[in-house]
Amino acid sequence: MDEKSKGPRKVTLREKTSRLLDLPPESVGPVPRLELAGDRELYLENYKEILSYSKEEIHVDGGAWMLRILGRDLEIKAMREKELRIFGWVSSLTLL
Amino acid sequence: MKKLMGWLFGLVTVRVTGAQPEDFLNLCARENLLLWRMVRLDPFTLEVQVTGRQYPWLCRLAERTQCQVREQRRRGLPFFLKRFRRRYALLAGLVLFVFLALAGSRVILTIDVTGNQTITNEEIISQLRLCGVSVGTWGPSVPIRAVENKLMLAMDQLSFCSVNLYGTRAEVIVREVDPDPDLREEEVPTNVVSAATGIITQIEAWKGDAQFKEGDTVCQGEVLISGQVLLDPPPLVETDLGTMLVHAEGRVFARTWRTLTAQISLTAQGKEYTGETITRRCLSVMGQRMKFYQNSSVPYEKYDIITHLRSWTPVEGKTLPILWETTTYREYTLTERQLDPGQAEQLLRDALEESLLASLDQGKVLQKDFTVSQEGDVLSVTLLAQCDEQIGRLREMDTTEKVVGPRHPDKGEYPQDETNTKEQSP
Repeated sequence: MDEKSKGPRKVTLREKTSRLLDLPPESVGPVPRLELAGDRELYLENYKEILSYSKEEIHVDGGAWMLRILGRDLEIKAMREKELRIFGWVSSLTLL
Repeated sequence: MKKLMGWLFGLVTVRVTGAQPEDFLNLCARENLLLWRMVRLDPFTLEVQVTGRQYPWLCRLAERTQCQVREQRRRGLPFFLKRFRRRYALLAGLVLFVFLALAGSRVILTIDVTGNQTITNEEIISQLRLCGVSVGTWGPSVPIRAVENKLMLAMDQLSFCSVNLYGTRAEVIVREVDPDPDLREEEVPTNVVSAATGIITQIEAWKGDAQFKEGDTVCQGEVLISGQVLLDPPPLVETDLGTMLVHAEGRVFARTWRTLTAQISLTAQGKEYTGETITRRCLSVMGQRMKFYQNSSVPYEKYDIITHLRSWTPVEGKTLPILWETTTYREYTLTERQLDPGQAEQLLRDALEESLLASLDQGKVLQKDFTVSQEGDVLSVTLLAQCDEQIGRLREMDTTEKVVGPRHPDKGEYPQDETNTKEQSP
């Protein structure tokens, strides 16, 4: 986790291609996708794994980065290989 | 929707305890095991919900991540139904219910008859039974067109018939034939003859020659209005035109006297109930009787049978073929009873008056006298009535020449002896 926060991450070839061709990033390959509805529901696609899980803090590995979700009464409502749905009071989202 | 799906598939709530519950979650996600409502209870315990079918899979995955699984509760339809899997009678009842519900919806339970005016519903339903359609018949097996044809052939009073099946209801639509008109046989030569002996008070000859006038006395069987009309020749012609046979018609009122006698024995046999009764019950479902008794013999020598039928009518006017039949056998003995002479006399008087009125044709009773006599045990009542009634009756002439028209002089006279063959009221 500390290694990832040391410096700016490297831009991948897929990102470069999508920028060059002016295409949406998800069209050239699976990239993590984050969707927040208000402060109660968080939807995450193409994540890798859950690193830690509690009612106040959830860490999710997104591949190129790590997402830290802070809040209270956090609860994973549904979980599949590529999808994650989190309910609760979200107070902070941080990419590490 | 999720709650409904969870209830339908059945949800198991489990607690997963281990050093790294997140590893268990990630493994479940990788294996595509769908988990619901994951709640972190403490750093080492996680509560999740999983469908009943995937529960064994979850246990295997927990074992791989070195976690312990404890089942908390189960809820949903599969677990509810699983309770009954060893209750065979209940399952058999369920299967029977489904079978009856499916099969019963095609069995004819009620028959509605519409369109009939003079024929009763019972006649049509009875005939329909002979054609193969009755309560309890399996609907799809009914050859409707053949039944309609059979019914039309069996009942001459029908001009149209249609049988329709609507689930458990059979509808029979019928139309009746128009009655034949009452044809008057005006070309048949007839006389009007007297039906009783009396004094004529009024005579109306509509067709034919009147043989009597008012005030004349006539005997029973005499010709009152003759159908053999003498043709008058025109003025200055002396040729005999002969006679013409016509259908005589008319009304003849006469004063008549009738004597009617009735007798009754003053000693009669009457029932006296002993108080002994036997009641038997049975259930009739679609004509099949289920008896709730074993011995069907009745030990009494003389008894009345009183049957009460109670049918099941879930909807007003619609009776299902389920009958609860209660039959009561009531024993009695015959005893000699003495009738009250006054009541017996009144009974005979009423009967005689009724008989007199029934025998009158377009008339009225002018005077009536009763004479009562008793010989031994027999009471006799005699009615002497004076009536004013229509005594003319049509009677067909017995002649071989029935052509209406003048008789040819060469053919001779018509026979005078007219044999009566048919009598009817004009």
